[in-house]
Amino acid sequence: MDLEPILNGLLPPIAAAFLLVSLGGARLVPLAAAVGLYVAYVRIKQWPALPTELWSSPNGTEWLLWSVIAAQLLSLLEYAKVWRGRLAMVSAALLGAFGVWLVLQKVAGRWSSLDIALHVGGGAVAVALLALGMRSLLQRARPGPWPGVVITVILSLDAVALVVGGSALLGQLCGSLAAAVGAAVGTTIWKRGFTLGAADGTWIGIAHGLFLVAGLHLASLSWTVAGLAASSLVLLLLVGGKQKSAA
Amino acid sequence: MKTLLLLPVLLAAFTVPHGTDAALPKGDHDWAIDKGHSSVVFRVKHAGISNFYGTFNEISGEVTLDPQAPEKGSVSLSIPVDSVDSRDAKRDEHLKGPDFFNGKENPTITFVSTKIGKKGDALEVTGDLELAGKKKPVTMVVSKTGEGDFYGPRVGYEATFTIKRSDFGMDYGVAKNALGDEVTLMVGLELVKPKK
Repeated sequence: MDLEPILNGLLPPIAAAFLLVSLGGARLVPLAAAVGLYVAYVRIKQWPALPTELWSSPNGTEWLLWSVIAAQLLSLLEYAKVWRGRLAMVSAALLGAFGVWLVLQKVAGRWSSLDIALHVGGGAVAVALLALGMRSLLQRARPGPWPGVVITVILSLDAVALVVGGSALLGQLCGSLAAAVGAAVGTTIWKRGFTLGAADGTWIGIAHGLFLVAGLHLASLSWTVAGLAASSLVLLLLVGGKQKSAA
Repeated sequence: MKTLLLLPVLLAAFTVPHGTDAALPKGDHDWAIDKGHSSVVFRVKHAGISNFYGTFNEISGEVTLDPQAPEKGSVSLSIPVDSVDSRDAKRDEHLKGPDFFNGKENPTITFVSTKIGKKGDALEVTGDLELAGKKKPVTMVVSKTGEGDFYGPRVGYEATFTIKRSDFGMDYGVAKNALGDEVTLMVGLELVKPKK
């Protein structure tokens, strides 16, 4: 088995997470994951079209990439205390919903109004709820590395589901996010105090939802598998604890 | 015995005219595609080792061609991505997905000619090929393979040309040469007169 295509997706986020989280702590996990995701995409495929180009020539997979990166920037802003409280929650929900529209923009052009309402509207609500749910669960999770371990498992399950659902590319990109979180958790070996906050729930919830939406509508992921994968965020209940501060 | 009974059915399948786009063009030099006797085959190198062949099982379009003035002609072809056939259902799903044709976003491959000229006994056809959401100009030499009367006048053409799939953003597996970048397309068309 040729490991290089897999390593192309895994090494960039692992290197970015080790470096950035070691230097700046857990608040840099979103940045490490963004850098890792972008470099992985370039290594696996090509330079993605810029959002300005995608407006005129949409591509769901590249909109997915930029939507997840935008969510990661939102999490960084929250850690930097530029964006806080209810504003952070509302913007997470809105970005998740908008991301669904961006990802499905082109494919929905051939759908009936009913399908658009069901799949784009329903998807937008689902991803917004996943982002808010992930924020809430991470806020209530016990401090320490275990929530990060669970998130790594959740994103890895998504990645496997996407590969089985007909897209190795989507699987590798989602796998790169799992690798970033997993490597960030690994820094606890030499650096104490690692914990994921509600701010991370924004980007992880949006990525979790958007990858599954893309798998359903751009690849051949089945509804059953997507539903099971989406509900895997309840695994975070296993590491539940007392409510802590948002970021 | 059962095989013998099936023989007329099989013969009919090959001899009776199949579905055409006969309702589309109507001029003297207009032709419709006989879908049942037209083929699209692609060839790509697997892992730098062997040539792999697959097909698209459907093609439709319009051809207008005056042999005395080919420059006035036009060709437009449309191939549904959903008709890709690599003889493996799982692989077909992968080919239709975002890693390759991205067929849910770009369900058809189209070719529209922009220039037709003579090249010896053959024709040189230049046009825009739109594949996986990207449009690029391609030029191909089109040879006449025959003509005759078979349930009406017919003419056959064939073209073989090579594209780089990475030019169309279909670059998955190119870097590691898991699947070659160059894809050769062989298109054989049997054209029939459209119904008036």
